[in-house]
Amino acid sequence: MNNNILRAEHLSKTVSTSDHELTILDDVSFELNRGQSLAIVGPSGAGKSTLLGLLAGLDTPSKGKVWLGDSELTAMDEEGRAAVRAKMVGFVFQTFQLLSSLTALENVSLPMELAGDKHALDRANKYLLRVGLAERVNHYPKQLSGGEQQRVAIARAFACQPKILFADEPTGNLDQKTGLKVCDLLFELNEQSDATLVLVTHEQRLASRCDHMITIDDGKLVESSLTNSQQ
Amino acid sequence: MLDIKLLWRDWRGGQLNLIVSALTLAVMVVTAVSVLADRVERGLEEQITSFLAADLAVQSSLVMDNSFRLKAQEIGLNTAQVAFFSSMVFSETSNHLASVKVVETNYPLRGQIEVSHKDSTQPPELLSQGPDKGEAWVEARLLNLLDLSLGDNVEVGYSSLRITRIIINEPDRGTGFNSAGARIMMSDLDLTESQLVRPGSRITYRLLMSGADPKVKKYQQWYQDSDEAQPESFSHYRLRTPENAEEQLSEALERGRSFLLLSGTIGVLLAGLAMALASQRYAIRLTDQVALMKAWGQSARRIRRSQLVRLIVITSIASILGMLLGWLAHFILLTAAEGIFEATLPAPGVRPFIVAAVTGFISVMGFALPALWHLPTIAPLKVLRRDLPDSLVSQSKRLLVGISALLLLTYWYSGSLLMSMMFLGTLFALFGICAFIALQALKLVQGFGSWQGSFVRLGLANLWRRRNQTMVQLIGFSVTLMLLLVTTGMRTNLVAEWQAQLPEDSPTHFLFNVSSSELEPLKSLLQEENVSAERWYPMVRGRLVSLNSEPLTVERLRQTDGLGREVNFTQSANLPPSNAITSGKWWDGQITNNAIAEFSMEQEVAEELGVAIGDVIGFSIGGITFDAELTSIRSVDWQSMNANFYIIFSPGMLDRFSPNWLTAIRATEKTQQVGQNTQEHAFVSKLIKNYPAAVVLELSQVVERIRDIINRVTLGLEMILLLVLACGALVLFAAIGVSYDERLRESAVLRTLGSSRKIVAGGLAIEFAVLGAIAGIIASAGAELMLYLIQTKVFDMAASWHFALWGLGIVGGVVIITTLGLLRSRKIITVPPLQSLRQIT
Repeated sequence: MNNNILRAEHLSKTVSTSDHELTILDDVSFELNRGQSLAIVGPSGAGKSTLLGLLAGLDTPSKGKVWLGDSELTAMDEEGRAAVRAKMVGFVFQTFQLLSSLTALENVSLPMELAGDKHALDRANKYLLRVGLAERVNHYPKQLSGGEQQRVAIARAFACQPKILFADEPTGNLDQKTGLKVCDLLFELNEQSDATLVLVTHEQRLASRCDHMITIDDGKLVESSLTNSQQ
Repeated sequence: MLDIKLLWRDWRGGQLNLIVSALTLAVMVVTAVSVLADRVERGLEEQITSFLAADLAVQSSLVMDNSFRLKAQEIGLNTAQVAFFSSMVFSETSNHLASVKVVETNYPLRGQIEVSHKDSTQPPELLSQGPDKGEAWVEARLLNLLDLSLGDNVEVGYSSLRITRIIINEPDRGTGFNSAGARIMMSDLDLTESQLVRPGSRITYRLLMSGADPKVKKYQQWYQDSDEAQPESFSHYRLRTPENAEEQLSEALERGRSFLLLSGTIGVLLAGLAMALASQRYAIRLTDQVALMKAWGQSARRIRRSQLVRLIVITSIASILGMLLGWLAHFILLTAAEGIFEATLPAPGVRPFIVAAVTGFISVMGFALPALWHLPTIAPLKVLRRDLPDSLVSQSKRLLVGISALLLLTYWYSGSLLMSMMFLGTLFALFGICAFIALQALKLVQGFGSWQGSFVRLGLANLWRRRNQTMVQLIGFSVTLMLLLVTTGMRTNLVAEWQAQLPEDSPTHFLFNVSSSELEPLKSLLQEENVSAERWYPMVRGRLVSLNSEPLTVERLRQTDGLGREVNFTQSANLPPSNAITSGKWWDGQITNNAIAEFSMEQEVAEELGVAIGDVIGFSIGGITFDAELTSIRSVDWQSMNANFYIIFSPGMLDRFSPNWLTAIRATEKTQQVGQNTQEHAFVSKLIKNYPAAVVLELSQVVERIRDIINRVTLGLEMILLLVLACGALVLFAAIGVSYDERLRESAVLRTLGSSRKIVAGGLAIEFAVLGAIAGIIASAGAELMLYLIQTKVFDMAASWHFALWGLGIVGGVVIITTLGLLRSRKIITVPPLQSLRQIT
C-alpha cells in the first residue's frame, strides 16, 4: 500500500499582471507520508501560502499535479476537489476565521453539521473541553482572547477528524507565550488524532517540531528534508 | 433544516434585521392599501348585484316618455318609476338640502328596503314596497339634522309628510359614497302637490323593469335597435343593466386601486433600496462563512441552495408579518377615511394578500438576491487570501434588475405598461433632480466645512467622502418628506388660503330651482330684505350632440372638463361679470335675427373640445335639437364664485324651454340659532318657508364639504406616506450599515489618538443634521413647487408662499435624520476603541 498522503509534482503557479506573467511558485515537487508533519518555511511573499492552497485543493496550479491520498486533485473540477476536502481536510488559519455570529460551540460544530454529523454538538463540546474552553462554549468570538479564538479554531479543525490538517501561520497573530501554548496544543492533538500536519510558518521553533521541513524562496523549493517524488 | 438553523444564527446576530424590516415594511404598505381598495371594491360590488333594484332600467334627465313603459308592459315586464333630485326639506327649526327619492308604491322590483319604525335597537324590517301617500321615510341622520323624531312631519316643497320609517338600506343606494344629502323617500302620489318638479329642475328619472330573462333581453334588443334608428331621440336616455353599471364602477375602482398602489410603490422602492444596501452588507458578512464552507468541501450548488432556502424563509416570515401589520394599518387608513365610505365594508378577499406576497417575493428577487448572487462563486482560497476579489454582480446589472422588478410590480399594480413606465420615469426624474441639487449642496457644504473647527469639519468631510451613500439617503428622504409636506400643505393650508383669496363681496348662497312665476315676487323679497343679488340667469339642461354636422361622441365630450354629462345652459344679453372675451365677438345686447342661433363658450372647454369661432354645434334640450354658431370664446374667473356657465346663448334662445332661474346672493347679516346649534341667515329661513321648492346652497357648507374630503383623502395618503417615511428611515439605517465598520474603525482610531467621545459624537451629529437640513430644504422647495402647481392649475387661485412648511420640512428633516442617525451609530460612540477594533478584526 502506498503510504503517501500528499504528493506534489512540478507545481507551478503563474498569474498575469497588466504587463507580464508573474511566477509565484516554480516547479515544486515532494511527497509526504501519512501521520507525518511538514513545515513549509520561507520569507514573506515566498509563495508558502500559495503552495498550501494548491496542496489543499483550494486553488489550481498553472502546471504540475497534486495527489491527496489516492485522488489527483489537479484532474478534478471544483466540485470534485470539494468532495475530497470534505472527506479528508481540516484547516487552521492565521486569522482564526471564526464566524462572529456563532458561539464557540457553534463554530466548532458547523463543519460537522455541514457534513451531516448528527452528533456534531456533542463532539464539539468534547473538543472544546480538550482545548480547555469548556467554560466558554457559549461565548462569541469577540468575547474571547486571540489565543482562545485560535484554540476554538484548532478544536474545530480536529473535531472533524481530518486525515490531513493544513495550518497557515497558526501562531502568526499571537504573542510568543500564547503562540507557544497554541503550538503545543496543535502538536498534541495531531499526535492523538494520527492526522498528517502541513503547516506554513516562518517561526523556526515551530518548524523544528515537525518531522520534515521544506524551504520556499522566491517561489522555488530551495531546501527539503523530504524525498522528492521525482528524484 | 441546517439551512434554517444557519439562518436563525444569522438572524440572532442581527445581520438580517434590516432586510427583514425593509421587506416587512414593503409588504405592509402594499397590504394596507390593497386591502383597503379591495374592501371598498367588494362593498361596491355587493351593491351592484341589486344596484338597480330591477333587472333593467332606462334613465333620463327628462320626464320619461311613456313609450318606454308601454313597450315594457307590452313585452310583459313589471315596471316602476323612481326619480332622484336634491331639494330643501325643513322642520320648524331647521332645514337641509336632502337627497330626495320619489318612488311608485311597487318599488323596488328587485331587492328590499331595510327600514326600522322604532329606535335602532329593534330588528330591521325588510319591505318590498315604498312609502304610501303622505308618508316620508328618512335616513336617521336627517332626523338629527332637522331636530325631528319618528311621527313628526317634515316639509318637502309645498307638502307636509309624516315620517313613518327610518331607512337603513335601500337596494339601489348608489355608489356607497356618503357625500350627498341625507335621503328622504316619498311616494310619487305626493309629488304634484309638493310642486318640487318644474321645468328645468335637475332630476334623474329611472324606469325600473323586471321579468324573465328572455323578456329582459327582448327589451334590451328593442332599445338598442330603436337607439340606432333614432339616435337623436335617445340622446337623453341611457339603458342601465347590472353589467354596464358594474363595468363603469370597475373602471373607476381600478383607477383608484392603481393610484393607491402606485403611491405605495414609492415605499416599495425605498424599502428595496434599503434591502439592496442591507443585503450588500449581509453578503460581506457571509463571505467568510461561504469561503469556509467551500474550504470544508461544500459545493457551489449546495451553497446556492442554502442561500435560496434562507431567502425563501426570510421572504415568507417578512411577508406574513407585513401582511399582518398591513391588515392592522388598513384600519387606520379606514378610520382616516371614515365618512367617505359606508361604515360596514365586507371582509377582503385573497387578492390583496396575493398582491402583497408577490410584492415581497419580487422585492427580494429584485433587490436582495443580486447582492447575494455571487456568494456561491466565492473561491475557497479566500480563506487564505482575503484580498481575492469577489465576482460581484456589477452595480449596473443590479440596478437593471432592481428597476425591472419595480417595473414588473408597477405594471402589475396598474395593468398598463405605459402608465408604469411614465410613473417610474417621473419618479426617477424626480430622483435625478433631487440628486443633482443634493450634489451641489454637498459641494457647497464641503467648501464651508474646510474652514470650520474640529467636529464640524469632521462631520462635513464625512458627508462628502461618503457622498454616494449620502446621496442615496438624501434622495430617499427628500422625496418622502416632499410628498408628506405636500399632503400636509393641502390638508392644512390650501382650502383656507383659497377662502382667504375670495373677494370681499363674494356671494354667500346660490339660489336656484326658481320658476318663472316665482321670479318677480322673489326679486321683491330680496329687495325688501336688502339682500344683494347678482343678476338672475335662466337655466336649462341639455347636451352637445354634434360639431359641424358630425356627431359628437361621448368619449370626445368626456375629454373636456365639464361637457361629458348634461350641461347647464343660460342666455344673456350682456357679458356676465368676471367673464372676458378672448376671441370672437359678444352680441352686444342685440338680439340677432340670424337664421342660426349664436352662443359663447368658456375658453378651456373650447380648447379641450377643439372648436373655433364659426364652428356650428348641435344642441339637444328636452329632446329638441337645434344648431348654434360659436361666435365668442370667454375666459372665466371661476375664483369670483359668481354664477358662471360653460355655454351662454344669445338672448331669447332658451325662452321656449321654460327655464328655471338661478342667482347668487350675499346674505351677510342677521343670523339665528337653529337646530344642531348651527347658525343660519334669518333671510334664508324666510325664503325657504315662502318658496319651498327653491334650493338654497350655502357656499360655506360646500367649502366645508370640500375641506372635509380633502382632509380625509390627504390624511389617508399621509398614513401611507408615514409608512414610506419609515422605509426612508431604513434606507438611512442601511446606508449607515454599509459604512458601519469603516465608521467604527475611524472612531476607534480617532479616540485612540486622543479625540474625545464628544468630538466623535459631534462629528456624527453634524453629519446627520446637515444631511437632514439638505433633505429638508430640497423637500420644502419641491413641496412649494408642487403646491404652487396645485394652487394655480388645479384650484385656479393665486400662488402663495408656505413658510411654515419650509420650517416644518427643515426642522423635521434635521430632527428625524439626526435622531435616527445617532440611534443607529450609538455603538460607534459608546463602544471602547479597543473593543471596536477587535470587533472589526
